[in-house]
Amino acid sequence: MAVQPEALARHRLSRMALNRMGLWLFLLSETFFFAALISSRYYLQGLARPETLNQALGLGITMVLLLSSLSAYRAETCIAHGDRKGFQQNLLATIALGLLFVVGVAMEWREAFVHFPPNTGFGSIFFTMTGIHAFHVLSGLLVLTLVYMLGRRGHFSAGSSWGVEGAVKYWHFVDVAWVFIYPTLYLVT
Amino acid sequence: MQNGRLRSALARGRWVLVALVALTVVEYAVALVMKSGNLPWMIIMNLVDAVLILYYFMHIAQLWRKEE
Amino acid sequence: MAFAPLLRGIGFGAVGFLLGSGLGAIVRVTMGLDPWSAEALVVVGYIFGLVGWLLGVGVWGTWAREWFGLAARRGEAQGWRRYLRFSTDHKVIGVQYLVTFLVVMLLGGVLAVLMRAELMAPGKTIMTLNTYNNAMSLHGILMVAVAVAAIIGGLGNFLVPLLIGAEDVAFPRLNALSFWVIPPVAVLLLLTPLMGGFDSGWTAYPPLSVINAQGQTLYLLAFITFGFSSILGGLNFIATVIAMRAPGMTWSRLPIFVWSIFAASLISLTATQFVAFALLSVLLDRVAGTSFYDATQGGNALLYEHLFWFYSHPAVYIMILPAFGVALEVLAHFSRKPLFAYKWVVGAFMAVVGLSFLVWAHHLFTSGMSDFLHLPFMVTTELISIPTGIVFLSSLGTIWLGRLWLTTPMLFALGFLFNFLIGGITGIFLADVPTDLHLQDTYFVVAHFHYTIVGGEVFALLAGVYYWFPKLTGRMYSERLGKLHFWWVLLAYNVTFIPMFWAGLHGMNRRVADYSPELGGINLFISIAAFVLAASFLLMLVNLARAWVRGPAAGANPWKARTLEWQTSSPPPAENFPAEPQVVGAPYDYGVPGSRHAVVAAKGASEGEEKRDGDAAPRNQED
Repeated sequence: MAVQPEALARHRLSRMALNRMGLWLFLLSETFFFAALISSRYYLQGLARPETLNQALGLGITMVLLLSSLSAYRAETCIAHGDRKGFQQNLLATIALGLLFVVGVAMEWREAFVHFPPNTGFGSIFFTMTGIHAFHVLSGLLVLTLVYMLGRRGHFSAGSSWGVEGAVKYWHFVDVAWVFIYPTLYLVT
Repeated sequence: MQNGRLRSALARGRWVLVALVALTVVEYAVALVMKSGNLPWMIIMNLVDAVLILYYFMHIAQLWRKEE
Repeated sequence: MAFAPLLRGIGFGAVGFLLGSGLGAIVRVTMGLDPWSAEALVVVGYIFGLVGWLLGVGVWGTWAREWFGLAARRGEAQGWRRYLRFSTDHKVIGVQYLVTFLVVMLLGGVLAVLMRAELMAPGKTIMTLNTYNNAMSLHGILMVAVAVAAIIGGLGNFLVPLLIGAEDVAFPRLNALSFWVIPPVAVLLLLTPLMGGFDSGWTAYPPLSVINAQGQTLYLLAFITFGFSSILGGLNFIATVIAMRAPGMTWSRLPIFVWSIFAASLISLTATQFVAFALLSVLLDRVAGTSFYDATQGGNALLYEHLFWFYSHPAVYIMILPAFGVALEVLAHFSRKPLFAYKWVVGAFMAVVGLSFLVWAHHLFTSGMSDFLHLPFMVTTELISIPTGIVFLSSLGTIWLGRLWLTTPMLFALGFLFNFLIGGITGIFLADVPTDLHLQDTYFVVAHFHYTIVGGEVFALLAGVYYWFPKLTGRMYSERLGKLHFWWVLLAYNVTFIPMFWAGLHGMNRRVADYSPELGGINLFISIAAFVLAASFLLMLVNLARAWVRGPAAGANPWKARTLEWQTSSPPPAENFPAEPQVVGAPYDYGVPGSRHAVVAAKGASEGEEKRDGDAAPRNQED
């Protein structure tokens, strides 16, 4: 007889707490990746910052992402209190805001190709950093979409919402990463 | 009762967002005003941002709080 | 059908590869580029192919179906078929790792033999200079992979849950995933010769690694994938040790091997991300047109060396910490004494973890980095000799006045101590800036790190393989052949590598196929010794293969050891223990009156029938 994963729940930590710990460890690991990116920026470019950055767009997409964190928080809070409708609406809003952020990054890239293409020092950093972050946003959107589909089919409830919690935590982490990336690319001098 | 708890939790989320937006605006303003050497200020403000999200949005305290 | 999961994985992988490379070509056309670029298409194709392979081999059936609201398929195969599928049993995964990496080690060994054959005489002998560079690089990365993953992935997976009294790791499916990304890594590395190989050494410094043959791209993809596996594996071990310990298994009762895996996992969870980014940036320079390492465009090759060694120096502790764990474990059991200074050893492990992040730039003493960095990195590097010294003293204190039982694993553990002492002491000359400036990139370095990794880690790996072989397979190997293997390896190993120190001091550079003629004699000597060394591993292969097929039954506890893995049958059942063990004392209190480590009740047994551990005749399936 094989040991099935859920059979492990009888240990002192609940499956939920174990999942949480696993996710936090993964996020800790990811932090080191972003730390490598950010330190590379300072190693190669010091505090130099091109004047051709589109500051309005940078501030705009930052606000969009912060707002999406709020709606993600609301979605998680709603399902934890049994409010399915609020959960679905807020999750949809989060996905929409995430897509808006991706569109913003795409607009940013169009301009960046002209002002500091990838084969320049700042361009290398800029495209890699925003690209890797956008990859995280896209994977987060994928997970949120799966959660949304499952939610529509009646999955998740007040007592059983790890899928929502995990997806939302990851989404917040992507936001935290941007909170550091944004000034590193746009503001620091 | 259940509804009241939900409402207060949602209100808390709104206040956190207000703080985050305000901090970001301050960061932007600092970058406009300080043309050099703003890195330490940025780091401090980013850390506050991160702590707000980690604590209020990601419930990091769940890791060491006793399970309900 | 035993091979169905593998075939499905290969099929899905192939479809994914075609899909990805087609998508890559379309993107290139829309960007106004020539659609055909072998490297770019291989990269995109590989990413999709990897996903396809994983889904096909088992992720879809046992896991991903749940993401779409479908029921996951359950059920394990029996017997040898388990090893060919996405099994979530940590014991199966451990054996999968161990067998895979023993094969990889033999492949790397064959390359080493070829290199030594080329080096038997100065000038070109059996291969072109470029072939030599490729063989040397491939040997390096294969062996680094073995060193990083064989003990942790193989022995760690099999034994950590058993040692802490758990029935599996914290995330069994993630565990299976971290193993099944390994086969693509091996395939990529073995395919590199088809794309011109890679001649950058395992370290892949730019600018060379940005401009050389396309095989380099396969190396980069393989290493990044391997890092992914390493991160997930580390995550799983940390969560397992924190959350899955049996009742009573407090932190101060953890067997030392578990501590060593825990410490190494802290490093692999975090530092690996730095090498992932380092390799990714080289990949982007090659295929996406960035200029991280093009000095004419604001790039800087030193950035790579910093990022790379920020992982790769801690990585040597990913290799050696579990080796310490195995060696101390074996020494304590076969000295029949409590592990000396247990708490100091745990502290030393944690100190090594902390310090390992502060020493990386000692690899850059001759790179041209700022001079003011030399002193601090020299000091931090030498500080590491304090915790490693504590581990060494603990091992001496453990065997001190013990009643040594000189079995094959014990001999290998003692051999580990001897070799690692040489490796450690010669390291001081490389940590010291004034001597390192002369020794850098000579055979002195080659000899030093082989002493720590082969003489150290591989000896510990062999100690562990022999020690736990009865538990893994339920069979006993031939002690006579095992001991013969030990003496053969120990002598051949030292006769091979001691002269390399001398060769290095006399100007033999590393990573070269040719050298000045006056070094011909010593190189011929080293080569012959190396062939003798390589042959010794065939003896182990014969011994273990024969024992696995028709060795005598080993019984539950052939070594009469006290730790938990020996208190269940060999090999253990799927659920590991008949009932959850209760841990009541320290693991190594041999000879302490009235002490016991754990109580393992038989299923449904009353209090009186529980199995006792310790020196008293152990009950097992046979009696």
